[in-house]
Amino acid sequence: MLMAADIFGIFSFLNDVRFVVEIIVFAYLVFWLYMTFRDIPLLFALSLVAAGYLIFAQTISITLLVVIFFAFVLMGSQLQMLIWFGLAPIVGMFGIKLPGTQEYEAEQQMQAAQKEEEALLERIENGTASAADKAQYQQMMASQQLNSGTNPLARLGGGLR
Amino acid sequence: MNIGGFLGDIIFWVQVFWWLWLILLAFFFYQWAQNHVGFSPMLTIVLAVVLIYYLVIKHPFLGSSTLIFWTLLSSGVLYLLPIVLPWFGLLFRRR
Repeated sequence: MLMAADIFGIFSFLNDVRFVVEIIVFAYLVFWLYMTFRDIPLLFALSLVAAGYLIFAQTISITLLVVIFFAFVLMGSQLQMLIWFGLAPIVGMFGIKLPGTQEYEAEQQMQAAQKEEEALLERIENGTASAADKAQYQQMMASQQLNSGTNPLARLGGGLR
Repeated sequence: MNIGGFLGDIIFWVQVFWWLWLILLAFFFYQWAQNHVGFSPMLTIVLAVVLIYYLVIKHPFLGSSTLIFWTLLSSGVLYLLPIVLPWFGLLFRRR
Protein backbone atom coordinates (compact mmCIF):
# COMPACT_ATOMS: atom_id res chain seq x y z
CA MET A 1 0.00 0.00 0.00
CA LEU A 2 2.93 2.31 0.70
CA MET A 3 4.28 1.52 -2.76
CA ALA A 4 0.91 2.41 -4.23
CA ALA A 5 0.93 5.66 -2.25
CA ASP A 6 4.31 6.58 -3.74
CA ILE A 7 2.73 8.36 -6.70
CA PHE A 8 5.11 11.28 -6.85
CA GLY A 9 8.08 9.16 -5.85
CA ILE A 10 8.51 11.02 -2.58
CA PHE A 11 8.93 7.89 -0.47
CA SER A 12 11.60 6.40 -2.71
CA PHE A 13 13.33 9.79 -2.86
CA LEU A 14 13.33 10.05 0.95
CA ASN A 15 14.57 6.46 1.10
CA ASP A 16 17.51 7.44 -1.11
CA VAL A 17 18.17 10.53 1.00
CA ARG A 18 18.14 8.38 4.12
CA PHE A 19 20.65 5.97 2.56
CA VAL A 20 22.96 8.79 1.44
CA VAL A 21 22.88 10.35 4.92
CA GLU A 22 23.68 6.91 6.40
CA ILE A 23 26.66 6.60 4.06
CA ILE A 24 27.95 10.08 4.91
CA VAL A 25 27.60 9.49 8.68
CA PHE A 26 29.33 6.13 8.30
CA ALA A 27 32.17 7.76 6.35
CA TYR A 28 32.73 10.32 9.12
CA LEU A 29 32.70 7.52 11.72
CA VAL A 30 35.13 5.40 9.66
CA PHE A 31 37.55 8.32 9.48
CA TRP A 32 37.34 8.92 13.23
CA LEU A 33 37.69 5.21 14.02
CA TYR A 34 40.71 4.98 11.72
CA MET A 35 42.40 7.93 13.43
CA THR A 36 41.61 6.42 16.85
CA PHE A 37 42.57 2.79 16.15
CA ARG A 38 45.30 3.39 13.60
CA ASP A 39 47.76 1.17 15.46
CA ILE A 40 45.25 -1.54 16.48
CA PRO A 41 43.70 -3.02 13.33
CA LEU A 42 41.64 -5.57 15.27
CA LEU A 43 39.83 -2.88 17.26
CA PHE A 44 39.39 -0.84 14.09
CA ALA A 45 37.71 -3.80 12.39
CA LEU A 46 35.47 -4.61 15.36
CA SER A 47 34.41 -1.01 15.82
CA LEU A 48 33.76 -0.74 12.07
CA VAL A 49 31.39 -3.70 12.23
CA ALA A 50 29.64 -2.30 15.32
CA ALA A 51 29.31 1.14 13.74
CA GLY A 52 28.03 -0.33 10.50
CA TYR A 53 25.45 -2.43 12.30
CA LEU A 54 24.22 0.49 14.39
CA ILE A 55 23.99 2.90 11.47
CA PHE A 56 22.55 0.64 8.79
CA ALA A 57 20.49 -1.86 10.79
CA GLN A 58 19.34 0.26 13.72
CA THR A 59 18.98 3.59 11.95
CA ILE A 60 15.83 4.77 13.68
CA SER A 61 17.00 3.92 17.21
CA ILE A 62 20.35 5.58 16.69
CA THR A 63 18.75 8.67 15.15
CA LEU A 64 16.36 8.99 18.09
CA LEU A 65 19.20 8.53 20.58
CA VAL A 66 21.34 11.13 18.85
CA VAL A 67 18.46 13.62 18.66
CA ILE A 68 17.68 13.09 22.37
CA PHE A 69 21.38 13.45 23.22
CA PHE A 70 21.68 16.67 21.21
CA ALA A 71 18.44 18.14 22.52
CA PHE A 72 18.74 17.31 26.20
CA VAL A 73 22.46 16.92 26.87
CA LEU A 74 24.23 19.28 24.50
CA MET A 75 21.49 21.89 24.23
CA GLY A 76 19.69 21.27 27.53
CA SER A 77 20.26 24.74 28.90
CA GLN A 78 19.10 26.35 25.65
CA LEU A 79 15.98 24.17 25.75
CA GLN A 80 15.36 25.27 29.32
CA MET A 81 15.67 28.94 28.32
CA LEU A 82 13.31 28.34 25.44
CA ILE A 83 10.68 26.82 27.72
CA TRP A 84 10.99 29.29 30.58
CA PHE A 85 11.27 32.50 28.58
CA GLY A 86 9.53 31.48 25.37
CA LEU A 87 6.84 28.89 25.98
CA ALA A 88 5.80 29.86 29.53
CA PRO A 89 4.82 33.49 28.67
CA ILE A 90 2.94 32.42 25.54
CA VAL A 91 1.08 29.66 27.39
CA GLY A 92 0.53 32.06 30.31
CA MET A 93 -1.56 34.21 27.98
CA PHE A 94 -4.09 31.38 27.91
CA GLY A 95 -4.08 31.05 31.68
CA ILE A 96 -1.93 27.91 31.85
CA LYS A 97 1.01 28.03 34.25
CA LEU A 98 3.94 25.69 33.62
CA PRO A 99 5.36 23.85 36.67
CA GLY A 100 8.72 25.22 37.74
CA THR A 101 7.94 28.83 36.86
CA GLN A 102 7.50 31.60 39.42
CA GLU A 103 3.82 32.07 38.59
CA TYR A 104 3.17 28.36 39.15
CA GLU A 105 4.98 28.41 42.51
CA ALA A 106 3.05 31.54 43.61
CA GLU A 107 -0.23 29.93 42.60
CA GLN A 108 0.65 26.75 44.50
CA GLN A 109 1.51 28.79 47.59
CA MET A 110 -1.74 30.76 47.33
CA GLN A 111 -3.76 27.55 46.97
CA ALA A 112 -1.97 26.02 49.97
CA ALA A 113 -2.64 29.15 52.06
CA GLN A 114 -6.30 29.10 51.00
CA LYS A 115 -6.64 25.43 51.97
CA GLU A 116 -5.06 26.18 55.35
CA GLU A 117 -7.48 29.06 55.85
CA GLU A 118 -10.48 26.89 54.99
CA ALA A 119 -9.28 24.11 57.34
CA LEU A 120 -8.81 26.69 60.09
CA LEU A 121 -12.31 28.11 59.55
CA GLU A 122 -13.73 24.57 59.62
CA ARG A 123 -11.97 23.84 62.90
CA ILE A 124 -13.27 27.14 64.34
CA GLU A 125 -16.84 26.32 63.25
CA ASN A 126 -16.63 22.76 64.57
CA GLY A 127 -15.25 24.04 67.83
CA THR A 128 -12.18 21.82 67.62
CA ALA A 129 -9.81 24.75 67.32
CA SER A 130 -6.81 25.00 69.62
CA ALA A 131 -5.59 28.22 71.28
CA ALA A 132 -3.01 28.77 68.53
CA ASP A 133 -5.75 28.30 65.92
CA LYS A 134 -7.95 30.91 67.63
CA ALA A 135 -5.07 33.38 67.80
CA GLN A 136 -4.32 32.83 64.13
CA TYR A 137 -8.04 33.31 63.31
CA GLN A 138 -8.09 36.60 65.19
CA GLN A 139 -4.98 37.77 63.33
CA MET A 140 -6.62 36.78 60.03
CA MET A 141 -9.79 38.74 60.84
CA ALA A 142 -7.73 41.79 61.86
CA SER A 143 -5.70 41.78 58.64
CA GLN A 144 -8.89 41.34 56.59
CA GLN A 145 -10.48 44.32 58.30
CA LEU A 146 -7.34 46.33 57.67
CA ASN A 147 -7.31 45.36 54.01
CA SER A 148 -10.99 46.05 53.43
CA GLY A 149 -10.93 49.35 55.34
CA THR A 150 -11.48 52.76 53.76
CA ASN A 151 -7.86 53.73 54.28
CA PRO A 152 -6.25 53.38 50.84
CA LEU A 153 -2.79 53.00 52.38
CA ALA A 154 -3.97 50.03 54.44
CA ARG A 155 -3.04 47.54 51.77
CA LEU A 156 0.50 48.81 51.40
CA GLY A 157 3.13 46.92 53.39
CA GLY A 158 0.58 44.88 55.29
CA GLY A 159 -1.25 47.88 56.76
CA LEU A 160 -0.21 50.79 58.92
CA ARG A 161 1.17 49.86 62.25
CA MET B 1 13.35 16.84 -32.50
CA ASN B 2 15.85 19.29 -33.89
CA ILE B 3 15.32 22.72 -32.33
CA GLY B 4 17.12 25.08 -34.63
CA GLY B 5 17.81 28.74 -34.43
CA PHE B 6 18.66 30.89 -31.48
CA LEU B 7 16.66 28.75 -29.01
CA GLY B 8 18.52 25.67 -30.19
CA ASP B 9 21.84 27.41 -29.53
CA ILE B 10 20.74 28.38 -26.04
CA ILE B 11 19.61 24.85 -25.25
CA PHE B 12 22.93 23.51 -26.60
CA TRP B 13 24.97 25.70 -24.26
CA VAL B 14 22.64 24.93 -21.34
CA GLN B 15 23.26 21.21 -21.95
CA VAL B 16 27.02 21.80 -22.12
CA PHE B 17 26.90 23.75 -18.84
CA TRP B 18 24.72 21.05 -17.22
CA TRP B 19 27.22 18.32 -18.13
CA LEU B 20 30.12 20.43 -16.85
CA TRP B 21 28.18 21.03 -13.63
CA LEU B 22 27.60 17.28 -13.22
CA ILE B 23 31.33 16.62 -13.72
CA LEU B 24 32.09 19.24 -11.08
CA LEU B 25 29.61 17.56 -8.71
CA ALA B 26 31.24 14.18 -9.29
CA PHE B 27 34.69 15.62 -8.64
CA PHE B 28 33.43 17.29 -5.45
CA PHE B 29 32.04 14.04 -4.06
CA TYR B 30 35.17 12.09 -5.08
CA GLN B 31 37.32 14.67 -3.28
CA TRP B 32 35.07 14.47 -0.21
CA ALA B 33 35.48 10.70 -0.15
CA GLN B 34 39.23 11.05 -0.56
CA ASN B 35 39.46 13.55 2.31
CA HIS B 36 37.51 11.30 4.65
CA VAL B 37 38.51 7.74 3.81
CA GLY B 38 41.74 8.45 1.93
CA PHE B 39 43.65 5.92 4.01
CA SER B 40 42.07 3.15 1.93
CA PRO B 41 42.03 3.66 -1.89
CA MET B 42 39.43 0.94 -2.40
CA LEU B 43 37.11 2.41 0.21
CA THR B 44 37.57 5.82 -1.41
CA ILE B 45 36.45 4.50 -4.77
CA VAL B 46 33.52 2.55 -3.29
CA LEU B 47 32.32 5.58 -1.33
CA ALA B 48 32.81 7.88 -4.33
CA VAL B 49 30.86 5.53 -6.58
CA VAL B 50 27.97 5.31 -4.12
CA LEU B 51 27.86 9.08 -3.62
CA ILE B 52 28.13 9.84 -7.32
CA TYR B 53 25.45 7.30 -8.21
CA TYR B 54 22.92 8.66 -5.72
CA LEU B 55 23.80 12.37 -5.78
CA VAL B 56 24.86 12.95 -9.39
CA ILE B 57 23.16 10.33 -11.55
CA LYS B 58 19.95 9.52 -9.70
CA HIS B 59 19.21 12.81 -7.88
CA PRO B 60 21.37 15.56 -9.44
CA PHE B 61 19.32 18.38 -7.91
CA LEU B 62 19.81 16.93 -4.43
CA GLY B 63 23.54 16.69 -5.12
CA SER B 64 23.64 20.25 -6.46
CA SER B 65 21.86 21.63 -3.38
CA THR B 66 24.28 19.63 -1.19
CA LEU B 67 27.26 21.22 -2.92
CA ILE B 68 25.81 24.74 -2.78
CA PHE B 69 24.69 24.42 0.86
CA TRP B 70 28.02 22.89 1.95
CA THR B 71 30.03 25.55 0.10
CA LEU B 72 27.94 28.34 1.63
CA LEU B 73 28.46 27.00 5.13
CA SER B 74 32.10 25.99 4.98
CA SER B 75 33.70 28.49 2.59
CA GLY B 76 33.23 31.55 4.81
CA VAL B 77 31.19 33.48 2.25
CA LEU B 78 28.50 34.06 4.87
CA TYR B 79 30.95 36.42 6.59
CA LEU B 80 30.44 38.73 3.60
CA LEU B 81 26.73 39.16 4.41
CA PRO B 82 27.11 41.95 7.00
CA ILE B 83 29.31 43.75 4.46
CA VAL B 84 27.07 43.32 1.40
CA LEU B 85 23.55 43.57 2.83
CA PRO B 86 23.87 47.15 4.17
CA TRP B 87 24.63 48.26 0.61
CA PHE B 88 21.24 46.90 -0.42
CA GLY B 89 19.66 48.74 2.45
CA LEU B 90 21.39 51.93 1.36
CA LEU B 91 20.76 51.69 -2.37
CA PHE B 92 17.18 50.37 -2.28
CA ARG B 93 15.92 52.28 0.69
CA ARG B 94 12.22 53.12 0.83
CA ARG B 95 11.74 56.84 1.18
